[in-house]
Amino acid sequence: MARSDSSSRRPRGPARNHSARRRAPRRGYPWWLRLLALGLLFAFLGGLYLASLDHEVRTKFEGKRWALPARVYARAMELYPMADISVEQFARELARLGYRRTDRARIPGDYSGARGHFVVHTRGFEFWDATEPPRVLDLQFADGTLKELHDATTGQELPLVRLEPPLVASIYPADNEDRVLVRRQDLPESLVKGLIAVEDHNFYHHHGVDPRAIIRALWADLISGRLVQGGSTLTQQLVKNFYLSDERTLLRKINEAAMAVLVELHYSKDEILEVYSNEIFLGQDGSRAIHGFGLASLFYFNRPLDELDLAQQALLVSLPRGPSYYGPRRHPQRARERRNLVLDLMAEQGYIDTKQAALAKAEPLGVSKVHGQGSGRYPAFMDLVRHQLHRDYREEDLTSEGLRIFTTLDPWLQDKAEARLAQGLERLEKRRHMTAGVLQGATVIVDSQSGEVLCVVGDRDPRYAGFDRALEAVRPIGSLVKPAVYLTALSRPREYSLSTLVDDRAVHISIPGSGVWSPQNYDHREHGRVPLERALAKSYNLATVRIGMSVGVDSVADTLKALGVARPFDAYPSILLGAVSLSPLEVAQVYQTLAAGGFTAPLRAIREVMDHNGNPLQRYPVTVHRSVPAGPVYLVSRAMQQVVREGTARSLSRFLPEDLGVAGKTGTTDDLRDSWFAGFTGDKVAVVWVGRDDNKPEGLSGATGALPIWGATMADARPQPLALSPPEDVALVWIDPANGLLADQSCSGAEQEPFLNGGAPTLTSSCVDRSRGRPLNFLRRVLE
Amino acid sequence: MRQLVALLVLGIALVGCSTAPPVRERPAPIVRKPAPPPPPPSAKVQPLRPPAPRAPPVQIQPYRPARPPVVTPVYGPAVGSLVRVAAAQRDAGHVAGASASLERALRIEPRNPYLWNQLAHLRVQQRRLGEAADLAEKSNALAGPDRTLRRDNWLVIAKARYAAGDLAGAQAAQLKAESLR
Repeated sequence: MARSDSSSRRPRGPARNHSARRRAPRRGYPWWLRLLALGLLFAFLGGLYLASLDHEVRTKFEGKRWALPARVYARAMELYPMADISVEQFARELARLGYRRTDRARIPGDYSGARGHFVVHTRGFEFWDATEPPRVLDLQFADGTLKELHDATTGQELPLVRLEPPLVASIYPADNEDRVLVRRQDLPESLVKGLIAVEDHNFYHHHGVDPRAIIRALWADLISGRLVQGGSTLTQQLVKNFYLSDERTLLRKINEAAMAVLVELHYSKDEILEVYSNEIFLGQDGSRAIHGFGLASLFYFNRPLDELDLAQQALLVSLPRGPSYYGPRRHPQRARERRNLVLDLMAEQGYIDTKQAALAKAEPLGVSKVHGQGSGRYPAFMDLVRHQLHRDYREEDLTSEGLRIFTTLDPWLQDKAEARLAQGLERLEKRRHMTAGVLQGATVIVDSQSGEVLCVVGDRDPRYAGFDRALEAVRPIGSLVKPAVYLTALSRPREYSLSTLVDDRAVHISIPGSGVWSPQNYDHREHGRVPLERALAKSYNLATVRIGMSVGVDSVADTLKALGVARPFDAYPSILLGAVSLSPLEVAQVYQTLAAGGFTAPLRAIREVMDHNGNPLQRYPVTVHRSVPAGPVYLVSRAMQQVVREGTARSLSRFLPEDLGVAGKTGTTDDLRDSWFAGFTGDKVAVVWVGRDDNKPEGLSGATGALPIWGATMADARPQPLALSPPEDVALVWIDPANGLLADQSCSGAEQEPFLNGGAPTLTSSCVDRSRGRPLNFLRRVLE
Repeated sequence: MRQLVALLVLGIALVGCSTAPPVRERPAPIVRKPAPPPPPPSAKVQPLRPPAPRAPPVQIQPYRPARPPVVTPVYGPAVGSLVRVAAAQRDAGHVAGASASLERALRIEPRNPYLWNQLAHLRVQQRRLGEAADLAEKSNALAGPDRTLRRDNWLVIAKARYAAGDLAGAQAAQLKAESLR
């Protein structure tokens, strides 16, 4: 430090001398010339400064291309006669879309009616493939079905109508600014007038700064002794917003005033209004900052700006002064007073008459309870959406380009699944005297044919955006693996069929390097020779290991991969009992392949992406691929129906009618750490996992933990029955269950069993011969 | 007599149309000055139309291969409306839109084999033949006893395999289609 001082001092000497030498001749100029020079210099510098300010204003203003967050939509509800939509479901959808119930639906966004009969004035929507016009619909519901659908204006029957898709999330940038862009011509005039009345009533006449307003504000402040009134024009407020910090210095004030004047020089009043209306900060939603009237309208009222009434517009206009101080959700009284002040000012300045003002003032605040357009509503599903998007888009595209993302989410099902998981875990904890909150779980439901993901729950608190178990909890799948083992066996019709008797007896497998593996049955007993179908239905471990070892562990591993397991795993014999770790979503993919008869449809959460102007950018079409042959899948699906009918998942009948024909499988891992249930109906595949985050045993089997949650959730989903039809290469043959040999209808207890070509037994059971002599059969033969 | 001549003209013309190589294509020489003006090719059937009181004594008919029966789809009104929209979009060259409409239809009737078949044809049009074959196979799995539909699907599969260079596979698929005639 000292050294640098001395070194910096050295040049000063000569400099001083130099300036001293120069001073002498300057004395010769007259004072006025020097003043002029100084004045010129100041003017020059001031000019430079103004020019730089001007540049800044123009770049800020014109470069004000807001980062537009991506909007994420759920699926649009399809309305058509005989659609499976209950009244409750429909009413919930209308609420989700912010439809307002009135006595007569006059404008888009209104509806009337309740119970079974509705008249709805839809808003219309520009979809990826076509534009759905706004219409007035007349709908009749009965018995959980939409019975009739008419155009209320023409009386014509309509085959199919799409409602708008509900907006479920935004993907906004790291600065957390969220907004919905509004153009000047889309700003309701009464909102603009209210804004001018309360914030800057001289707006159309000043040039950026309103000296009278400043004097008035100063006067008001002086009288009250504190800051009560701001004298800033809308333009000044806008300029202030260009700065990130909220510094209050004189220089800053002067700068702002100068910039306001420059803004007014360059831009029209309408342009200034438009930018202001999109820029202004109007509220906070967790970490998300609500900017502009477009988003504020959705945030506070769950309705688009053009559907707001006078009172609601006045409420929005009252917010720029203090979004949190006047926040209608937390401070309804303050918000009401401020809104009414806005209405009074509008009446005072002649924008509305006193009657209108009085009517609007009498209205409730009308703020909606749901404000779920942030990223917070369905975090687990959004995780999946982001995952899929990141394959094709950069993060900054997502947060700035205003993309519109159309997903496969069914919000109704999502809400139900969330509730069922939370309830189910609570009930389990209570019944088992566990500490409340110790259990966790996940649910995934997908469409069985198309692979569209309908809902994802990743936490018992569905709003918690942390560890998403549906995607990230990679746990051993236990007996959920068994269908893959049996599928491998059933693909060899000469060796295995559903009625093949298999040995459920102790088995010891020596594994090089780790000794002998001696698996056990769940009940620690052996069951002797059992038909293959029953071995799966009862989830017998010993029989499964024997079958798996006979077909080869590698073949089973190949089947798993074919079914859709992309995660690498080691093909040890222990995989036969589920020593393969997968996430619930990955399990859903495996079971989807089974549910679709052997066609894998890669799971998708996104259907389409559009740009900000509604131009189609990208589609994620349905793709399918035949990955396992139809015959064996059919056989294993039949066996999985037996699991539900008389096997380990019998208790499912408490939730779902037996004739639904659900095919499923329970899964339990060592020491009862993970409890799984996976299965499918005619249209849906669902997977439920229950366990603990610390991976400690929770004492629940698949049937006691995950199954009840699966059953309750699916009961809400109102699934289609699973009617399996045998593929070409499967034949139904009469079998004597006592020995698994050929029989005919006459044998007592004979059952029709499906066999893959070449798989039916060739030997005939003795019951056929014995029964041949009976008179009844003789008679039957004669008659035939 | 004039009818007979006209029939002959028709027969020869049709034979010419369907089987003869283009070099031999020329007006039939027998016709000298028939009363009707030379019919345009599309209107050649007309001479048969006027009320024919008697059946001609001799059956002169060119060989015409039996037309493959057209797939007649079955679906509900909602899906029907979407299928019409999809067809209009496809004809207007908006194939992606047509695809979106068909997928919308599939959400309503996910097990309708005709929809999977039409989606397969759209993929053919988009030159995404691998996907087309997969979709045709999916349609087949759901087609049940509908031989016409299954035949059509096998033809799509044959086309895709041929394009992929799998000649043996293509031939097998073609044979499969033939067997379903």
